[in-house]
Amino acid sequence: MNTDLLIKKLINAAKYHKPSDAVPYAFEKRIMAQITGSQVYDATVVWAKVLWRAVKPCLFIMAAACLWAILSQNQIAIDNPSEAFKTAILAGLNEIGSN
Amino acid sequence: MEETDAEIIEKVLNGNPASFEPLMTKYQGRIFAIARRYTNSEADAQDIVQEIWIKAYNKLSSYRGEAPFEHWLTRLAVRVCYDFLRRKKRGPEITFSDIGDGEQDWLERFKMDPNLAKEDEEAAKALIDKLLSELSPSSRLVITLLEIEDKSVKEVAKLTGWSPTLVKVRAFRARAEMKKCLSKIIKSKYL
Repeated sequence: MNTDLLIKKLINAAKYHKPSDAVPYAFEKRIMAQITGSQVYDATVVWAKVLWRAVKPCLFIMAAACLWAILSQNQIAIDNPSEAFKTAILAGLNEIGSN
Repeated sequence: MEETDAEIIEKVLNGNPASFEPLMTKYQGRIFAIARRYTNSEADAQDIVQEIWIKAYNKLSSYRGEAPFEHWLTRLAVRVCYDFLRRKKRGPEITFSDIGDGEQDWLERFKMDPNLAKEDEEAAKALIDKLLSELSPSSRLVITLLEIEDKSVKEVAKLTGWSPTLVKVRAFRARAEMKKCLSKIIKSKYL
């Protein structure tokens, strides 16, 4: 059997039998109900969106606070290195004493 | 005067979702015809069309208006159909005994004289539908667009988002796959 010719015939059959473009009754209404239904706001979704938006400013504030804390600590160390050294050494002993 | 697609889209984007309905009414038939190319089940076709319209609505802001809306929508429809084919399991392998009497008779006549088996017969349609359902998603898509709908490689590339080279490679593989599937169906009887 000539399979190439058979394939050609079958492809022609698919071309001949064009699919129907009939639309089921009120199909548009069904889709529109879905589309407009998705517009209703869900409180949890709105809350999640607000929280998600707050992530960037919170990260920025956290980074700024960390930077400030590190820099202010360094400033003490630079101004009075012997005091900073003593504080570092005695910090552990103070901790034991307080317990 | 009838509103243009651009005017309707602008209204929808300005917060009037109800304006989307005339756009659907206008292109619904074409979208159903595309979906029915990739499935024989009417329920599946309706699910595909529903997915196409919901995606079209949600992605409407990405339509830039450079090409006609119909082209943008067709591209979206083809991609949703492809996703559907990839999600859907392929049917079990078909042998000659699995095909109906009408189709067997059509093949018998083709064997005797190819001119006796006509393309306009329902049996030929049923046979090609079964054959297409055996193909991999990319093969089915490329055969449908290139061979059945007679689109050019460039057009298929635009519709699918594949490069023209990939379309050619997939078309080559698809033809080979189709021949292999057909040979499997008929080998027990004729080969």
